[in-house]
Amino acid sequence: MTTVVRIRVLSVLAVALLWELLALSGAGADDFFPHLWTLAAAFGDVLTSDFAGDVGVTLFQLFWGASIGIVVGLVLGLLLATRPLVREIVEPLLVYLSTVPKIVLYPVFLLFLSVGTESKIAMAAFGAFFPVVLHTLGAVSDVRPVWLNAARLLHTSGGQRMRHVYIPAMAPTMFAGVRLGIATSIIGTVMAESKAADEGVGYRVIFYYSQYQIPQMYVVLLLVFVFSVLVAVGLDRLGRVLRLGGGHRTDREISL
Amino acid sequence: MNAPTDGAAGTAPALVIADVSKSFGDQTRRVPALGKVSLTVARGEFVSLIGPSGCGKSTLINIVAGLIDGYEGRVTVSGAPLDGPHPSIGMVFQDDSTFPWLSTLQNVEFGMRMAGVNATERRERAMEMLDLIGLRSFADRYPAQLSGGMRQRVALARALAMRPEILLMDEPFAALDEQTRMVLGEELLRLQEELQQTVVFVTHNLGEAVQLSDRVVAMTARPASIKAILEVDLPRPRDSSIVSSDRYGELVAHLWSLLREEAITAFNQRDAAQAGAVR
Amino acid sequence: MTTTTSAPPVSAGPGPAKVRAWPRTVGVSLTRIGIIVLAAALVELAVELRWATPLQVAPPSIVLPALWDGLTTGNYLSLLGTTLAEVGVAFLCAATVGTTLGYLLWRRPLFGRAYEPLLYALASSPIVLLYPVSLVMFGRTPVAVAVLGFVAGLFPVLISTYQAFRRLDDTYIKVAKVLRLTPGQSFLRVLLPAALPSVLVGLRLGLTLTMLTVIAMEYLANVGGVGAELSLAYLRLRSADMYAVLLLIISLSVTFLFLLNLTTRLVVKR
Repeated sequence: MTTVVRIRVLSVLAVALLWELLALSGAGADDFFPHLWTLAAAFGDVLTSDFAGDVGVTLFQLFWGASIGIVVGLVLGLLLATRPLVREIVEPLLVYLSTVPKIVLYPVFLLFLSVGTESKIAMAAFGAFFPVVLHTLGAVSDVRPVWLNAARLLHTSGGQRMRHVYIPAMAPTMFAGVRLGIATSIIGTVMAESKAADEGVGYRVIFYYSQYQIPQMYVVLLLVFVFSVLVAVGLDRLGRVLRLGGGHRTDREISL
Repeated sequence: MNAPTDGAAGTAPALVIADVSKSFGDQTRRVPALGKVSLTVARGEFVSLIGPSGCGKSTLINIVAGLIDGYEGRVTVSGAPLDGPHPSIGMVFQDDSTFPWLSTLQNVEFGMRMAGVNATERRERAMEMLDLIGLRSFADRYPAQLSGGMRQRVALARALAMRPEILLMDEPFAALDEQTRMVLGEELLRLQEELQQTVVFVTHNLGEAVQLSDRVVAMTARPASIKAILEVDLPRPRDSSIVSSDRYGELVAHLWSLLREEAITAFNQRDAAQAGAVR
Repeated sequence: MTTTTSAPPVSAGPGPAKVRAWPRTVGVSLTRIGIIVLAAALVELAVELRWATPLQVAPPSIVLPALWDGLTTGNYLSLLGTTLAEVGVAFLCAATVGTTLGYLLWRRPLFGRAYEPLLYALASSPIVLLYPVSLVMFGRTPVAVAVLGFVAGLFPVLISTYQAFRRLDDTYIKVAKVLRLTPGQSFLRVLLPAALPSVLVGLRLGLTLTMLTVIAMEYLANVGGVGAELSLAYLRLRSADMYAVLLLIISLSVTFLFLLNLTTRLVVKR
C-alpha cells in the first residue's frame, strides 16, 4: 500500500470516526449526526419506498431538458460562431445572462408552464443551454488559421471546411460545454423539484426534510452526489473514447 | 483529379509572376509589403525565395497560393491567370498544419477525400506517399504522437498526394531544430530527384536555399523586391555532403554578401517599428 | 472575460484599424441596447394583446416603477444588504481557508496527491443541493445561507491555489535559491507573485460561485435577501413585484460580473 493510498484510507476512517463520535456525543440535537448504522438503515428505508419512481421522473425530465438545451446551444453557437458581427453583438448578452443563477427563472416557468414536468424540463434545458452555447462560441479560437489555409490549398469548399475543419477542431471544447451543461442540468432539475413538485428526487429530499427524517434525506443527497460524479466520470471516459478530450475550458467553468 | 495534360499547360512556364506588388492597411495609412516583383519559374525547377525576416517573401508566396488578394500585377499558373487557390498548386506551411483529429493516413488522404477520389484509390495513393516520406509504419498514429519533423513530413505528403504541378513551401523547416532540418532537407533533395516537382521554397536560411535550389532569389528588405537571382550550379543529384564542397561555400558567401545590407536595413526597420509600438 | 476572437486566415500585416474601430463598437453597443429595448417592448405588447395574462407577465411599464419604488423606499436596499453580507462573509472565509489549505497541500505533496481527485470531484459536485443540510444545521437563518456559500466557493479557490503553486516554473525556485533568499523572502518576493495570477482566477471563480449559490439558496429556502423576496412575491401571486425582484437580481449579477471584469483587468495588467 503506497503512502498516498494509506492517507486516503486513514482519512476516510478518521471522518467516519469523527462523525460517529459526534453522533455518540449527541451534538446538534436529534438526528443531525445520525449513527452510521442509522444511516445504513435509512438506506434500506429509501430504497424500499417508491424511490425508483422518483428517479424515473427525474431522469425523464433531465433527459429531455438537457437534450433540448444541448441541441439549441450547439446550433445557436455554430450559427453565431460563423457570423462575426452578430456574434459580437449577442455574445456579451449571453455571457452576462449566464451569470444569473438560472433557478431565479423558475417562478417564471411556473407561471407559464405547469408545476409538473414542463417547468422542470425548462430548467434543465436552460441549465444546459448556456454552457453549451458559450463553449461553442469560445471553441472558434481552437480553429487555427493554418488549418483553414491548408484546407483551402487542398481545394475544399466552404461547406467542406465547416464540416471537416471547423467542427472537428471545435469538437473538444464543445464537448466540454456539453459535459458542463449536463452537470448544470442535473442541478437545475433537482433544485426545481425541491422547490415546487410532488415527485422526483429533489422532491424526495425536501419531503424527508419536512418530515424531519434527516438520515433519509442524507441518503438521497448522497445518491444524488454519487450520480452526478458518475455522470461526470462517464462523460470524461466517453470523451476520451471519442477522442474529444482536452477541450479548452473557459472561466465560465461553473454555472448554476 | 486535375492531371494537367492539355497542350497549353505543357508549354507555358509553370508560374509567371508579373509586376506583382501589395500594400496592407487602408486609405489613411498604407504599408507597402511588396514592391514590384517579376519572376518566372520553369517546369520542374526548384526556386528559393530568401530575404530578411519580415521582408514580405511570405506575402509573395501567399499571393501565389491564392490566400491573399487585392494585389497589383498578374500571376499566371500554366498560362492561366490566378483566381483564388489554384487546383494545381499545393502548399506546405511554416506552422504545423496537420489536423490533430485525423490519423497520419487520414491526413494524407484528406484532400483526395474532399475531391471525391474513391476509397481504394486514395488509400493506395496515400500509402504510396507514406512510403515516399518513410512514415508507412506511422499510418495509424495521430499527429500528437509524432515529432514536429514527422508532422511536417505528413503535411508534405498530404500536399504531394494531390499531385500538384507547383508545390509552395513557406519556411517549412523554420520551426524545427537544426539537425531535423538537415535530415528533411536531404529528404527533399531525394524527392526532388524522384518527382521532378516544381517548387517555390521560402526560407531565411542561406545554406538551405543553396543546397536545395536551382535558383535562389535574393529579396530586399521591406517592401520586398528582387535584389538578385543566383544560379546554383552545383551538380545534381545532391545530398547533404554538398555542404562540404568549395563551390557551396562560395555560393553561400556570395548570397550573404547580397543579403547582408538588406538584413541590416530590415533589422533597423524592426527596431524603429518596435520603438513606435512602445511609444 | 476571456472572450475569444478568431484570427484572420492570413496575417494582414500591421494594418492600422484604429480609424474605423470607434464608430463600429458604438454601433455594436447601440444594437445591443436596441435588442434589449425591443425585448422589453415585445413583453409590453404581449401583455397589451393578451398573449400572456397579467398574472404571468407584468409589463415593463409596471415593473420598472415597482423596481424604482422598491429601491427608493429602501426595501430592496436592505434585501441587497442582506444578500451582499452573506456573500461577503462567505467569500472572505472561502478565500482565507481556500488559499491557506491550497498552499498547505502544495507544501505536503503526499496529501496533495491523496486528496486531489476528491477535491476535483467536490469542486464539480452540486454543492447547492446541500441547502437542506445547511438548514438542518444552522436553522432558517442567513448564517445557513452564508455557510453554503462558503462551501461552494471554497473548492475552486483551494484547487486553483494548489495548482498555482504546483505549476510554478522550477526556474523561479532555482532563482530564489541562487539568490540565497530566506524561505520567507522567497515566498513573499518570488513564489507568491509568480502564483498570484492563477490564484486570482480561482478567487474569481469562487466569488462567482458563492454569489450564485447564495442567491439560489435564498430563493429555494425562503431565507435571507433578494432570493427569498423573489420566492415570496411568487407565492403571493404579485407578478409586478416578482419581476421587479427578478430584474434586481439580474442587475445585481450583471453589475457584479462587470465589476469583476474591471478589477481583473486592473490587477492582471502586467
